[in-house]
Amino acid sequence: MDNRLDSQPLRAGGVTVELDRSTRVAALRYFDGATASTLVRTVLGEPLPEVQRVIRSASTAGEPFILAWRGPRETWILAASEGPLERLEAACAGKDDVCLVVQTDGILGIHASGTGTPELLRRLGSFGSVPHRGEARTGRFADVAVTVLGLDDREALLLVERVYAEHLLGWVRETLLDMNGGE
Amino acid sequence: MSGTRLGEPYGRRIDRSRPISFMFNGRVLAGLQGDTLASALLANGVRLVGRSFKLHRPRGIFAAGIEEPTGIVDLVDGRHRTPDERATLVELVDGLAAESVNCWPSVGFDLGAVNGWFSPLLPAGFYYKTFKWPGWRPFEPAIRRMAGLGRASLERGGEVYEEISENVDLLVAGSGIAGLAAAAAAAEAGARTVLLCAGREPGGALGWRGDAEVGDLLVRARRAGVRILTRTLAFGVYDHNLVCASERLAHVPASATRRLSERLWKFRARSIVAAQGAFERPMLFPDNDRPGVMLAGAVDEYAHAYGVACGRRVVIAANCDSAYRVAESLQAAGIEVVALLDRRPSVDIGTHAAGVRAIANTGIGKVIGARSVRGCVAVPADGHSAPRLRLECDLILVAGGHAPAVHLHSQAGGRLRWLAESSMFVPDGNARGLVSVGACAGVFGREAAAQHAADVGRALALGFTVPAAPVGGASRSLASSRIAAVRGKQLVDLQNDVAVSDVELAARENYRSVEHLKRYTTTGMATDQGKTSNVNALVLMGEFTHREPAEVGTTRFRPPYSPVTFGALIGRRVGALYRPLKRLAAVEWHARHGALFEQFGNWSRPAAYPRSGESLHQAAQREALTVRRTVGLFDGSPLGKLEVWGADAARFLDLMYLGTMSTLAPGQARYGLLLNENGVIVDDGIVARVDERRFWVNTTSAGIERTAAAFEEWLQCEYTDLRVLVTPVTSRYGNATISGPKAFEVMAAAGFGAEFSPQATRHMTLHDGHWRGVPVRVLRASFTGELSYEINLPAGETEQLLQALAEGVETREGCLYGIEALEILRTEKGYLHVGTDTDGTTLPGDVGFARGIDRKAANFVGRRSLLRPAARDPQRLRLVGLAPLDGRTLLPTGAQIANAPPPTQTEGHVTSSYPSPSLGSPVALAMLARGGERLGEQVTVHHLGRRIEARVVSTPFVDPKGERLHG
Amino acid sequence: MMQIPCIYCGPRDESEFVCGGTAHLTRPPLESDDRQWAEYLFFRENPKGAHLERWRHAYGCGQWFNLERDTVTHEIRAVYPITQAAPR
Repeated sequence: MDNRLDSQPLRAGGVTVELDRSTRVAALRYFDGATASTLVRTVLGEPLPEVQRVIRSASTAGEPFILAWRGPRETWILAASEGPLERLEAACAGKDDVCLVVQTDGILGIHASGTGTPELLRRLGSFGSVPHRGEARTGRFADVAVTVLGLDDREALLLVERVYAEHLLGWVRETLLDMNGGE
Repeated sequence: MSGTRLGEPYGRRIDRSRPISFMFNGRVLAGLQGDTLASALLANGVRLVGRSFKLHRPRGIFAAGIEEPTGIVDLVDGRHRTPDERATLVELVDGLAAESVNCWPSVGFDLGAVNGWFSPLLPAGFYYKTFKWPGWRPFEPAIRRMAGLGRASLERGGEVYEEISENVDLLVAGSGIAGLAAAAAAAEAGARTVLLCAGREPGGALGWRGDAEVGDLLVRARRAGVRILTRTLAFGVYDHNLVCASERLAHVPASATRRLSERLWKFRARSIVAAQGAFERPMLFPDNDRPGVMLAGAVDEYAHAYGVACGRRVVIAANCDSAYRVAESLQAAGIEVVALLDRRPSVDIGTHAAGVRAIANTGIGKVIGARSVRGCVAVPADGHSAPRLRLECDLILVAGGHAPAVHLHSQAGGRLRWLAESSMFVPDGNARGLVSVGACAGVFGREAAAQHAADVGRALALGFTVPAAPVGGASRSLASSRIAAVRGKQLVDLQNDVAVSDVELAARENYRSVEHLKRYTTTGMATDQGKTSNVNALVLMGEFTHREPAEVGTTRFRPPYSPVTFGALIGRRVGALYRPLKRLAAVEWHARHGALFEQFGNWSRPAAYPRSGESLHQAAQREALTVRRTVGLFDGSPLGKLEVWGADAARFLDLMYLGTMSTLAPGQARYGLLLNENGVIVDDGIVARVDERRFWVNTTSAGIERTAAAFEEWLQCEYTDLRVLVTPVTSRYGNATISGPKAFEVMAAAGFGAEFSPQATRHMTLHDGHWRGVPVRVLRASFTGELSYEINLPAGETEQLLQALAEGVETREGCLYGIEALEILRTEKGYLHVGTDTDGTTLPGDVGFARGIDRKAANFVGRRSLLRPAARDPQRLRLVGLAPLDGRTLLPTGAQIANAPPPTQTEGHVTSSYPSPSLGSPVALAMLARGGERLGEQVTVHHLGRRIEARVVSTPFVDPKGERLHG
Repeated sequence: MMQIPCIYCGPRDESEFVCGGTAHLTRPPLESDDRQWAEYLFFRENPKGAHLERWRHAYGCGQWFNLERDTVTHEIRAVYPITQAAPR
């Protein structure tokens, strides 16, 4: 079985799965969510998301980004360009209560879209780990820890440690092979 | 002739316009779409289907559902076999091929039948008393061949399995009238409801009779939005209302290379309703296992659902009123009921089957016909008085009463009570989160069952109190149907050949507890899990030990309720997905350069880069030599990496590690040991300080999760005031490690500036810089003992860096090296490998870190344990070097060291051992009692009967002063 | 497989967690005697009934928390932060 990370999208069962190699990722680490939220609002114009929530930048923003709750002391920032991360990193410099850890290339995104997306997700992980729209849930998918962002009812972004991406994709590939007609 | 098709309207499940051709034991037979293998065999008059487990007695089809104990076959599909399938559950498809099990050379002529002649020597538990002289080993091969029923395939078929999770408000297991009523009512009250039906169509025992009310309920349920899953059997209830079910997917042609065969459902349900009905109890009489003896309800089902007459002249042995309904039903189908023998002393007024000769207080004393029933002899219940009535028949129906399917209720922790009148166990109240309805709750009247089930469904949906089950409606049944004074084997468990005499033996030998009864006689331990035998067995044990059935009780109910394929439980975790394997960013680059990948811990990484004609061993030897001679290039990306940041980061790392980290200046690195609270080494690594509050921690490749978890545990649970944040970054960075005398030459050729040279940098220092515009973090650390640079950079750039360095390596006649070569190199230097040289008992002092403990002022994890007497015991094993006396023999890893000949106390063992290409002789590390004091001593290494003389030597073996590190 | 209510992420399958054993253990100081230290490391009450224990959401938010679980029925009766003292 070929588990290589190739860029061809996989399509079956009403869902399209694509590797996202271009998104930049960073982890904002902090001791106190309120102070960190103030900083982020100043830099990016949005506060930190609440527990298990996602915040997407306003469509008018020049450089789009996504903020995803990861833990009481951690929020992930995803951006299509370097700008938001660079500005955050600069704002954190010299602070002793908040820091930015770049994770680009370390965390890979796998984008799933289409009517079959919920069917795919519940074959990877259990119910409580699958997010609704606007949620960020980290749970056990394909036996590895995956943070899933519910971008829409039929659209999800799976964020996984790059070293496990081939394993997750292999599981997704196997699942899609059996999903041709849906359940 | 004993099997034919009945005309319309019989055969609700079959389609007469679609014939199917199948094979049984090589013989081509005809069936119809909708048949099971069992119904098709019966339609073809096939009586002999297999041989029983122990005594190889002839066996036929006994039932019609999951409780089938004897109609077991192997399905053969080309070179692939599916063993031990119940013929009653196999859906007939074109080209199906089935074979009998446990017989040779054929089911008709089976040499194993000699076991039957020896049956007096083979009672229950005989194997506890035999196979002792001269030992059990000579018997083992024969026993293994005889054990089991079917044969498994040695080839992978095309089956794949998947797992799917769902949350529901109400999960109903069972689609008979009660299950449908509950599901419909719940869905109409707003509950998200799923109904599981084990068979092809919902409806249960009334469904295949074409019952109108069941049909209406089905329509109502669907309209209310109940999701009905067919071919889906709920096999287990687990904690917090988890119900697991196995869905058998419809057959796909054998030509398919891939077949989704079964799906595991995991439902978390707010409430569960069990509606799985009741099983029929067999009757006990001599030779009650002969082909042609069948459950009464099953024969009725074969007639109505499949249009198959299992026989034309039947005798019914009865212990309940439902037998009379079956008698009438069969008569109406044109099957002659020769007699109904009611075992009960008298029959109630009103229990009556028109036109059927019924005799009370009577049972069967003898069955005529060994491979197929030809007749029987009816005797009075006391067993010896007159009259004895000889009856000609080709089918004997047994209707011993009913046993509610209380499995799911019991798995959920529910209790049982015994109803003396109808001789059955019923749920005593509800289990937590699970309510039983219908026959499995002991509610046998159809109106009562449907009404109660609907009330339950509605109550669960709306959160009201659930009404108690109106238990009742089952007729009077005797607990035991056996006739004491007749001769001959009366079988209790048909699959495992457990007879009444075996239960009596168990009682006599004092295996009186129901759990002992089960294990001593093996009753209930066959693949049917005692669905038709458990109640009879415990009732008998009660008889033999003067106890009521309630006192004997039932064995503990455990999932699965019915056999589940291993594959379904494993799901996708096969082949490459067996476990999550970590992969390198530059995996393709390595593959192109000839890497031989192997699994090390949970990483897939190059073991070596064999050139043409080289074995792995030869490649590793060449690579190790080359690194010391010139230079080698290694992908060190799997090394764990953590960013530890915060005002208290230094203090925290002092707490975690043995080795003081707070005294590191920015750019300095130090080796540290991570201990657990027992003082045992669980990881090692290098801690480097980046700046005032930021540290870069390298752990072992296998230990990163363990170490990161330990850090979080201490920070979150214990040292909660420390301002430290730990972020794992292993995936973020790739690592190219260049090692050897020409290491920096290669780096310079690739474009690294002089600021990284061995003159400008020192061993164990960290330098951040840039290479071709890419930020790099360079650590001068060495696991090979040579001048070494570990270059960390964003993972996406790893390939670029490897390529650039590889070009310089090649021009200097260096090479790529893998893990095997690295192991040789580090063993030559005596460097520790946690998990190889250490185990769950190894303390820092055992591997040369005693002075570190005393020197360290700050407290650290594990410190207290190092003060225990055992930690200071001079007899402790210590890490030493070992070299074979002859300079040639490789000391096997794991070999025990002992100077006295065995049997003796061992003094230690070899932990790492490799031939050293640099020295031309083997080098080894070992843990040896008092090793530090035994330098120069000769010791004997023992391995599988060989003895190898070796000497305790100091390490390192190569470059003892460690000069080569500095380049 | 139980369902464990993570203090942040809500109820999740047990397979997402690591159990950390008995909660509210007090570590004896460095000066404690060997017996006290051994009891801390190895000796545990094994109650039939209510048990206070620690769990970590390893496949999720990574956070530790305490809960009260009945060791017989597995009913989970309380969930509270890891730094909070034992209830009642």
